[in-house]
Amino acid sequence: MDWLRRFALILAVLVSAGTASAQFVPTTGNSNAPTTAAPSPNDVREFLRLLGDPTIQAWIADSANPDGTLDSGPALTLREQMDAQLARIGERARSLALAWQVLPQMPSVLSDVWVTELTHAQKVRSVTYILIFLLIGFGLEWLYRQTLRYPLLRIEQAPKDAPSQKLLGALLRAAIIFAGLGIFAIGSIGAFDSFDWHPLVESLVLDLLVSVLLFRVLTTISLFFQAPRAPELRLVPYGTAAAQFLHRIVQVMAFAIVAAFALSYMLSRVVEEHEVDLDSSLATVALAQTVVLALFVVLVSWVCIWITFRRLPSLCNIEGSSKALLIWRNFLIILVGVVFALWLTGLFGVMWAVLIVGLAVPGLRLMRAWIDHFFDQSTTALHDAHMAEAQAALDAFDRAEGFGELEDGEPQPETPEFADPYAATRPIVQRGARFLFLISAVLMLSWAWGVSVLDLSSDQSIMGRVLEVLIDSIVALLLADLVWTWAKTVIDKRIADYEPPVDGQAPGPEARMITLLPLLRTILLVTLLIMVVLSVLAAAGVNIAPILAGAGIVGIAIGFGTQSLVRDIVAGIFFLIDDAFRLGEYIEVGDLMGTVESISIRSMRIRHHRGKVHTVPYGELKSLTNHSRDWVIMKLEFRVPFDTDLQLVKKLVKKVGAELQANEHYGQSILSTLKSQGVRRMEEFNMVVGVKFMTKPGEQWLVRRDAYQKVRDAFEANGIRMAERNVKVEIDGGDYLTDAQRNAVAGAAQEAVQGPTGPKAAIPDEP
Amino acid sequence: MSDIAVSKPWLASMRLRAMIVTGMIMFLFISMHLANLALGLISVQVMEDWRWTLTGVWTSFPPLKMALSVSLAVHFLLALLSLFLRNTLRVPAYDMAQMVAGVMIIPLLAPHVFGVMAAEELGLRTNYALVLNHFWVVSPAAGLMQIVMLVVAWIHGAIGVFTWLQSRDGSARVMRVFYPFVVALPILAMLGYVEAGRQVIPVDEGGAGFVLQDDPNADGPAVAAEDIPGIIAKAEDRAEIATRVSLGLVLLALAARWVRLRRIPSGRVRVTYIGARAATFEADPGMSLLEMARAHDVPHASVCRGRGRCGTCRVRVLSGDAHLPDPTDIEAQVLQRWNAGPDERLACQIKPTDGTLEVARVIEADYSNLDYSETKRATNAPAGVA
Repeated sequence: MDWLRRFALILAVLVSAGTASAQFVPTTGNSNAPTTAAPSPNDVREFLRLLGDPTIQAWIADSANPDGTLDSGPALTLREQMDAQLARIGERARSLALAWQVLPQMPSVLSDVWVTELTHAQKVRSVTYILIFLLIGFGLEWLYRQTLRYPLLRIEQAPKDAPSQKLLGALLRAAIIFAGLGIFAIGSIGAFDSFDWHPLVESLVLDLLVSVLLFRVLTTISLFFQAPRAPELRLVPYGTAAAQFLHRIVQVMAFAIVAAFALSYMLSRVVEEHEVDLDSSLATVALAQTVVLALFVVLVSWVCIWITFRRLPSLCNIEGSSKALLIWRNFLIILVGVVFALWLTGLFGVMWAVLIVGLAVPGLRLMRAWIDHFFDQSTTALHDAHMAEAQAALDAFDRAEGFGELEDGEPQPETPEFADPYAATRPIVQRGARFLFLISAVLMLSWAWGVSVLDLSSDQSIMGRVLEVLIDSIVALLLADLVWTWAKTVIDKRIADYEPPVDGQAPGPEARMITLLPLLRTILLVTLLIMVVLSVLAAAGVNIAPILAGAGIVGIAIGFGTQSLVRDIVAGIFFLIDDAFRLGEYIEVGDLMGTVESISIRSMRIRHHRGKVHTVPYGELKSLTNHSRDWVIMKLEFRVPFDTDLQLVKKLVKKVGAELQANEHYGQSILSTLKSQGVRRMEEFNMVVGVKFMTKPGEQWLVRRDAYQKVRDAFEANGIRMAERNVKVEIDGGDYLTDAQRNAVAGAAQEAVQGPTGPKAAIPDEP
Repeated sequence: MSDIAVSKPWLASMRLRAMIVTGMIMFLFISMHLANLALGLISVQVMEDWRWTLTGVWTSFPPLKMALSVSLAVHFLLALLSLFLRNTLRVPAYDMAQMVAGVMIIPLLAPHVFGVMAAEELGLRTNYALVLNHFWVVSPAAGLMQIVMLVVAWIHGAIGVFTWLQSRDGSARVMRVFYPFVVALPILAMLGYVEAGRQVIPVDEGGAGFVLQDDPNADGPAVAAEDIPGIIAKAEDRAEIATRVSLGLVLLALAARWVRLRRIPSGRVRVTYIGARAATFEADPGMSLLEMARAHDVPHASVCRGRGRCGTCRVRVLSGDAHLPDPTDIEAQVLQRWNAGPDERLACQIKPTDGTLEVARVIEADYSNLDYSETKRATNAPAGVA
């Protein structure tokens, strides 16, 4: 109970506190490194001109110290800088020691100041004003909340399946609550501000009103994530008990921090009002006051961390990982301690760096786990829905089987594989969040060190340069990493999703992208690397213009040398973009024909149906004929004698067409089956009957074979003979010729009609 | 509540009526008093001009004075009775606020009332110049207490009126006026008080401010100077006695309630909620079903927060061997107003004893299916108990 008493003492001290300007705001402890470049004659002339300028003279007079000296310029060497820093620490230590000595008298001194500054009535009235204006704010907010009561209730209680709904609900609720806070601010601070007040009373009341608002904003942020009373809106992966507990912890921490800041600012108001009396004793008391406040915050943080890590395992059912928890607990406790120690020694820049880096490490891990949890939840919800669907299909099957409605041998429906739709989004979101987190950490760090990122170039100190290079490099790297992760995930996913066509099937349009994507990925990687390297170099102060120019010249030289190579590659990309051919298609290029076997960056390989392999660089392609697109029409002809029954022919062809269509092997490939086109033309000795059919590319040969065979068989079965070339020799008065003579005459006539028989031109083969 | 309701339904009904009537009388008084304070935004003179009409009529016109003091006493005693009859102190935030505010009113009010009475005894005429000077200059702590008092009393009264209005049919239109009124009046009153203070304070500090024309108190107290401390001490004594008595009565009611609850037989009730946001929990008997649900964080619709007036907490009793007595008159009336089915009961009125109970909410916890027009279909249904 001893510590409790001490705590109460400290609290009492705080409440009765009255003076001090807080040292919370960091001062620039670093970035004071100088430049040593000698001025040029022009600069000297300009300087002399400026010295003569009356406005500049007035400015110098204004910026001088009260005792007439100007602030001494920054130390010239690292050694001197170190000395200055050590001197500052020593100074700080001395004032701390002094503060330690006055600590026992602090309450009395503070209450003295408090009494002299404000009368009793004024103090009580201030409390009255604070109460009244807080109540006005609360009243207006209540009215607002009351009008939105049912929508809010619905948002909180409506069941939400997907985390995106959850996030939307939480955002909506946060928006409603924050709007309420805005109304509270208007009602309390706005109403207060519209009166005229005693200046000190005004600033005190305003500070407290703002503190209340700040505290409420902090707890509302915690509410947004943890939703202790609305489990449907909780964004964090733990139960109601843990959420309620952690929300309380956040409230305590927020209260401690806001109270400490409010008190120290309030005291600084009193000191401002006091102005004249800013002697050394009061300053020491102020310092002691601030140290006590900071100590209070540190103690509260320690207690909160300790309790949190003690209670959390039982609240969240964490098992086994107690060692990791212990490490994190100790890490946080040590971090708070180190930050406090650094603050005590006055090394504010280092303190902020330690604090930001120390919090960024667990923060990054937590954020990662949180985003993972968010996506896991989404995936689980989708997976459950998917499984329920599959189960419903199975149940329906079982029921149908039970009723005997199914044909024998119908297979049980298979559970389709579950594909996670967020597989590609997750790493991108992870990287994006990490990017934002790190960028904000870097920005805070640079702000804390007093280095403005925006006008870094004007900062010529070593520290500024180093920071500038660091920040630029980090930003460039993070950006490149973000882009690269996104591109890589998308490309890899598309490649992984690609299913190579089954043998005999024409490949889909994806095949084209598969050839292009790895190329794109490599190009992107190289481009990003070059850009990062160049921007890092540029940030480091290396003039990259010559590099760029040199690269340009080399590029032109190489370009001339590899003109045809470049032409091949570019032409290939355009052929691929045009979707002129795909893997496995039968194409004709000039007088080369064959199936596309492989597509590379520069050339493609075509295999002729007789086995010859042609390699064709894209640059050589002028035009390209693709035999494997969509459909093929094939026309056949039959010669029949003039006395053939054309109706019968039509009927027979139709029958054959139906037979072909019904064929189990190629029937499906026939898009429009065999049909007669009637007499296409008359010839000397016969009629030409045309038929045609349409199939998918590559199937026409098989169908043609069967069509010929079946039509011939059908004609023969129905007594239709194919016309044969015959010569009818009419001999005037030839009745008396003998058979031998007739034959001789016929032979002579046939020879005369046909002419000498020779080898015919080759008919193109089937592939 | 239903202990009484079971044995003597008319008594319970009377009690509710008396509660509302007495409460409304005091609410009217506070409203008028606050309206008077709000006039301070214009000037203290206007405030003073309207004092008799808005405030003085309640203290100088005997029937109204009588009504006000009787109301205060009756309301307080009835509140003690309902505190005694409460089964659980885990109540919704509004009820808790109303309860706490109710307990605080008399201790806060006593110094003001007896202080004004002491001023009369001193021969001072109570007017705003005197009172404001007292609260802002002489004793700012007392002024601060008045603000607390005002807020506490207003919150108590407003919640009461709210609960009454909400459980009535067709209150939506009244509510549209009542919501802004309930916020605007105290805000204006407080701003009026602040502004009046800003007019009065500078006079004390030697600056220019408001000074009442023809101040009857200009001559100071009419009694002898040596009597003054005695009168003030007497007023303080009275205030302290009033505070102690009121707090003692509250403690007594709580103690009696504790004894009463001890005598309720122990056992376990197993309740299962079916439908959206299903839940199962075990509870001690003695509480109403609504209170049990609340105690186990099971969301439940309930506009009147368990007073058996609104009918939004209806549940369908599906099965269970827990014994449920027949509906009382209050419950039957509400159920009839809603055309409720035979298996429907009010969760705030049934007190399941030993056993199991399976229920389904009729109105979802988020009021998504609440439709007041359902009550319109009833033909000659009485318009609620209240």
